[in-house]
Order: sequence, then C-alpha cells, then structure tokens
Amino acid sequence: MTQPGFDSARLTREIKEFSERIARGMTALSQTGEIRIGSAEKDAVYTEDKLVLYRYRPSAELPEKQRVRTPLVICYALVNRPYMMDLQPDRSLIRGLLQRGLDVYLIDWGYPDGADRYLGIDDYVMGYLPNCIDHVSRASGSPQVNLLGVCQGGTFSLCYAALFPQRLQNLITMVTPVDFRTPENLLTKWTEHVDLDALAAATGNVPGELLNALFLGLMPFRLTSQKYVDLLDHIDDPRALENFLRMEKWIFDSPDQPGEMFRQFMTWMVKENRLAAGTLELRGRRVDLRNVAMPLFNIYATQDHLVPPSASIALQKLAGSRDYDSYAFPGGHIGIYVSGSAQREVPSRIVAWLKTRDGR
Amino acid sequence: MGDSPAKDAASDTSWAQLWIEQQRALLEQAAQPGKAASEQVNVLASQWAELGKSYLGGLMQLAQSRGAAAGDGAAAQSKSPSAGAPGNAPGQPPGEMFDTWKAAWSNAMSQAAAPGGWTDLLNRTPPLGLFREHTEAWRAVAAARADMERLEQELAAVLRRVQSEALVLLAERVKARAGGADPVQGFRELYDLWVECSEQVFSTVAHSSAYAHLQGELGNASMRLRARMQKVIEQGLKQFDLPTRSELNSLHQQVRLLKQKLAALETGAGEPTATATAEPIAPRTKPSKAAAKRKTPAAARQSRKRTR
Repeated sequence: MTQPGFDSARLTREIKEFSERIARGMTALSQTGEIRIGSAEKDAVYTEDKLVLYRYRPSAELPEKQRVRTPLVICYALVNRPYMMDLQPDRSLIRGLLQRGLDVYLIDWGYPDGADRYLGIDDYVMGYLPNCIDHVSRASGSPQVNLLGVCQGGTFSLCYAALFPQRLQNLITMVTPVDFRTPENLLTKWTEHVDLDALAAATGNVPGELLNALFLGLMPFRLTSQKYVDLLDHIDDPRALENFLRMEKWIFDSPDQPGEMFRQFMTWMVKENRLAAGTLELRGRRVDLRNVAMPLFNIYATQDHLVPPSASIALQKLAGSRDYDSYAFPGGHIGIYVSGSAQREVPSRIVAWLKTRDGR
Repeated sequence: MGDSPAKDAASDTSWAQLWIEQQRALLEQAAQPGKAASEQVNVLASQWAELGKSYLGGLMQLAQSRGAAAGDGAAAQSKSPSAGAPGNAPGQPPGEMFDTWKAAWSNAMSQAAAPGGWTDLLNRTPPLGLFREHTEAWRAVAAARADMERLEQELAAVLRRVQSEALVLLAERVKARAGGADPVQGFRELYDLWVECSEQVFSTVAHSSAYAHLQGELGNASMRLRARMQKVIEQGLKQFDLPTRSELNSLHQQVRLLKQKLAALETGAGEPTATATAEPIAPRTKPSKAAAKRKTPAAARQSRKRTR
C-alpha cells in the first residue's frame, strides 16, 4: 500500500489553500462586529471605590429544597477580568452554578488607576473582601457565606479565611497558588532577580500589558504565533471565530495592578513565600493557614502553566481543615473555565460538594 | 512497496532541509551587530576628537611658522619685558607650552581611543555650571539607555541561540521521521514541528538561572531608564508649573492616610464592619505623633515596611 507522499504539487496546493484561507479570514474578521461578553443576568448590589459586587439572578426553575442555602461569593483575581466566569451562555461557570441552585455573588475589582497605587494586600483582604462578605451576610441573612477564590483571588481568600475563619462556612479554591517556590513555577524563577521595589516605584501601577507580555513569554512560540495560525483552521466557522475573539479580548483586557499590592504580592508571596511559610503578617496579624479549619475544596488544573499543580496541592498540608477535598481537572489554567469538559464537570462537582456541607 | 515512487517522495525532505537552512541564514543575518545609539555617540565623539587634534595641529603650525619668521629679530625682542622664550613671536605662547599641551592632549586622546572611551571619559567628568543638574539627569538617562541596550543585545543573542538550537532539533526530527512511516509532508506540519522544537528548547533555557538572571537584569535596567526619564520629564513639567506624578503620589498617599483614619474612627464609633476585628490600621506614611504613640509594635513594624 502506498503512502501519500511529498510532491511539489502538494506543497503548491497547500500554499494556495493557506493563502486563500488567510484571504477568507480577513473577510470573516472584518465582519465579526462587536464581541458580546457575559450572559447571566446580574445586579450590582454593593460598590466601594472601584469595586462592584454583583449578585446573579438565581435560577427560577429549581425548587427551594434543591438550592444551596448559603450564598457563594466569588473572589476573582486582580489579574484579568472576572467575566471569564461567565464568558458566554455555553461557557459559563456561573450559569452552571446558578442552574444547580447556588446563590452567586461576584466581586469585580474594576480597573485600578493612579489613585489606587498605594492599596496593599491588607486593603483587599481586610477591607474590601470583608466588606463584601458583610454585605452578603446582611442581605441574605446568613451569618456565614461560602467563598470561592480564583487564582490570585484564591490566595486572598485563603488569607481572609485564616484571619476571619468564623465568617466562612466553606472555602473553595480554584487554580490557587499557595506554595510559590515549587520547582515547576517558572514565573517565580523569573521574578527572582527583579527589583520589585524599583518596578513599583517606576511604573506606579504595574501595567496589565507588562503582565501580558510576561505571560506570553512563558510559551512564546505557541502563544504569539501558532495560536493565530491555528485560528485559520476555524476561520470559516463564525461561531468558533467569535469564541476565539472573545477569549482574545479577555486575555488582553488586563487591568493594571495597584503598584503597592503588586510589590507586596510578588515580594511576600512569590519571592519570600510567606503564606506557605506561615510568616505573612497583615496589619500586624499573622496569616496562619492552620486557621483555615472550615471545609476546603481545592480545584486545580493538571496542565496549568501559570499555577502549576504543585503550587496548589501544597494547600492540603498547610491548611488546618480536616475536611479537605480536591479535584484535579485535566486541562489548563483557562480551560478549567471555558472548555466543554469544564462546563460538565466543574460546576456539578462544586455544587455537589457544597450541598453535602450546607447548613451545618 | 517501499521502493515505490510515492514512498520516495514521502521520504524526500530536501525541501524541509532547504527551509531550515534558510532560517539559519536569517538567524545569522540577524546576529550581525548593528550600530547602537551608544556606538553612534562614540563615533561622534571620535569625530570631535579628530577635529580637536587638527585644530591644535593648526595652532602649532601657525605658532612655529611665526616663531621662525620672528627669529631674525630675536635679540631686540629679548630685551622686551613682555617677550616669551627665545624663538617665539611676540604675544604668542612659548613653543614648549604648546609641546606640553600637545603631549598631554595626545595622551588623553590615546587613552580615550578605546571603544566607548571618549564617552566614558565625558560621562565620568562631573557636569559644571548653570545646567549641571539637567546635564546630570540627561547623562543618567543616557547611561541607563546604554545599559539596557547592552542587556537587550544579550537577551537577543540568547533567543537567537534558542532558535538556532531549535532548528538543529527540527532537522533531526525531520530526518528521523523521513526514515519512518510518518514523514513530514507539508509546510504546516513542518511549522507545527518547528513550534514544538522551539518551545522545547526555550523551556530548558527559560528554566535556567542564567536566563532568569538576565531577564531580571534587563527588567531592572528598563525600570532604571524609566525612572530617570521620569525625573527629566518632571523637571520639564516644573518649569511650566504643571503637576507631576510625584506630587500626585504625595496626594494619593495623604488621601489614603485620611481614609484609613476615617475608617478607624468609624470602627471606633461602633459601626459593625469586618475591619472591627482587625487591629487599628497602620498608616503608610509618616504618622502624627499622637498616631505613632497609639501604634502597636507589630503595626509599627508593618508601617516601616510599607514606607520602604
């Protein structure tokens, strides 16, 4: 049996098809129009400075007994925008949670500007976040809430949980770095020789574009070249093209990081690994992960190139919770929110875990 | 069927090798050193030095020719109290002085002749006069820029090496597959393989401490340049009584301090907020004497860290 082999005609045909696809792609891209983000209906229920706390409208179809009574507050990272949690109707962790009976709140930190450059980690962990949780408690009548922290927001949530454990019924962390000094952590290695004080002093708020360049630099050939060549494979599919552009918007819609917060985070958490070492202090109070004694569900992604699994898994040994559970999602840092398998697996696992721990 | 023309065609990867060679040639071309800004400054400095040399040479020749012409009346001139050494024209510096000057100048020039030497010499000389502060600030910018350019070139060399090694790996993979059942059959396949090889090589380099060090140094250099440029720009803004970032920062810090004090007062008044469980907020900037007295030792430590 002969195999299809190389010949000049084949290569010529490939070049011709590729060129035609580029031409079609240019046409398709010019016709996409505005990209719509988000799908679930929500209301702003609390604001403070640039922060907005949203409450998503609960699903009306579920009977009361199938709902989780304790409200869930999602604490997103300051890096990138939280609409990743509700990107579009068929790619929405939040929709998945609502459909399964959760009362969902989301903290949107907004876009920090020059007035925010001296905000520190303490302002987030001991100011904004408690204020949001207080509001949810008052509004829902629930003295405790469930908290879901995402990535850097997960790190903040752990700090909050260690300082105010009595306020949380359950804690869920998603792709959350805890031990920043594991060997796989490339970002930590790259930070080693950076003068973070000088960085914060020179840039003020650290530009989101600078962080984007850093993230692209982790896999430069794939993320700056191959990704766009691969796009041509789907250029004739308007829906796939729209999905790509929506994701592209999210990736590069990066708020600046408040300078002082960034300096503290990178110095204390990343370089000095204080959270894992138990030496982090905020406003004179030690942040001791052994105080995280509430039920704890740690979700991480096995192919995460930003927060390697080892950075998240360390939580099991460090947290004081006796009710620790974890889920290793087979995917990457972003796929855990938007992939098809994530839509099936992640919300259902979260809700199932919470339901067994609701109203203790 | 291994000897069939189709199989031969499948294993013919000369087109892929040709592409790899082209990439190598491009890399070598990219590796040719260009003229950096600092190098251009050196060229300019050398030109100025040459100009200075020829000017001095002209002066010397003029002095010597006048000295020779005046040699006939040397005796009469030697009686004059204003006359110089024998052999010099009236009112002209003596020949030995020129010789001394020329020797010193030539010596300085030869020392400065090394690449970058003249620029270094200028940079080491403290600026003087009315514009010394501005000159110093601009020099600091130039030095930071030169430093950053040097590190950029180092990083570019590392990345060229990554690409070069990736091409070697690619060639090996293409060759290995050509002999098997899965030869590379098209450009897209070759491109995907190239990306794979490049990421593999880059990953090894990116995890090395040398790369982390270089990247960190480059980042620090770019921040130094940015900070020094900010200083120059702020000097300019002040000339026009326009607000600067430093002034805004000062205001932001004051507002933040006031907000924290207000929050502490509200908490003290018994309003139920989550921060009530936390210790009093330590100010980030210089506290009032009364506030300093109220601070706990831990809060004081925290405050010191914040104001670094």
